[in-house]
Amino acid sequence: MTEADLIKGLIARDSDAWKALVEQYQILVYNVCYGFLQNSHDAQDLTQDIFIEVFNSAHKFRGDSKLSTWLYRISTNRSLNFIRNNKKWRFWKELSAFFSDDEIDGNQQSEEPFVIDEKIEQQERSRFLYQAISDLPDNQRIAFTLHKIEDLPYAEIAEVMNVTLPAVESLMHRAKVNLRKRLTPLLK
Amino acid sequence: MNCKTFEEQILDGIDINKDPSGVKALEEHLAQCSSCSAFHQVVQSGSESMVSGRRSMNDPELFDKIQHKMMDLEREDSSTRKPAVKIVRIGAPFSMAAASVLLGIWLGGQILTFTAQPAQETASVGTTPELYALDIHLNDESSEFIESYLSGN
Repeated sequence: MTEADLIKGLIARDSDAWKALVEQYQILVYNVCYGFLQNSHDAQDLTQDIFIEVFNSAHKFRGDSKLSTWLYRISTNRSLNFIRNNKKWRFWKELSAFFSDDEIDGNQQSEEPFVIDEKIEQQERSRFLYQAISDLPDNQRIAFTLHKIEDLPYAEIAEVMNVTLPAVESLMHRAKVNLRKRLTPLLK
Repeated sequence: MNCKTFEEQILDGIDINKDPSGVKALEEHLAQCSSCSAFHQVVQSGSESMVSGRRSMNDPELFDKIQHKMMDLEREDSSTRKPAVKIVRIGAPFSMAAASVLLGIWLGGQILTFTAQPAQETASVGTTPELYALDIHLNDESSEFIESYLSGN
């Protein structure tokens, strides 16, 4: 099914087109959500919600960009809204991180102590980086996540964010400066 | 090159294939600079960890899950709409009853005002004859007689 057929089918609320869309784009949507949320359960839930939204608002798609660009845009906005609307989200995330540390402790019998230490250190480093990215202003965070985690080129990020290419370059530069400022004190 | 430049390179993620000399310079710097080495570890292992949960295969049950969720949402919608319908049904007779009560109160008030008007005016009569003659408002024959008597004096 071509992209044009897919869009026509979605507007007509055709279930085959709907199924094809889910099969073709579910990895993209899930990975964008996971990139922002860093929680597989939330990413899974949000992926379902995004496809429901796409199904209900397919008639709003003007067709002046690629379907994948539209999906990137919806997934990014929904992920950031999810984080904003779930005020307790950070707390629960930290709590789950705490319990996941316990899980590592529970496996200590089967692993050498230095392996456990290495895992804990890696989790700590990952948390540092994620925290620093989360503290960036939204537009810098979107540009950085889409480029570094989703591996999108600047031109496509510009389309997703509906800004110019130099604006994306500037956002990326500022994101890197801010990340350096945030990470350096944490490491001292 | 200073630490700032190396940190920028680390965040950029230098590509070995594109810039082998840059990688060599970075490796030499990391070997002697503990702060850049820590920075490198955080960025490298943090990025690896952040992409480790990504999916590369489809979830075969996702479409069914979405359909179930849509049905659940529709069910929730219809169950939340019911009370609204009830409110609309109850609302019309209730507002009519409230309107009748308010109308009754207003009519009662009008009747009371109309019957109490002469008494109020009598109570406002002054003590001096001039004032009495000016203030008084008469409605019946006896009052008219009193008025003409007072005007005559």
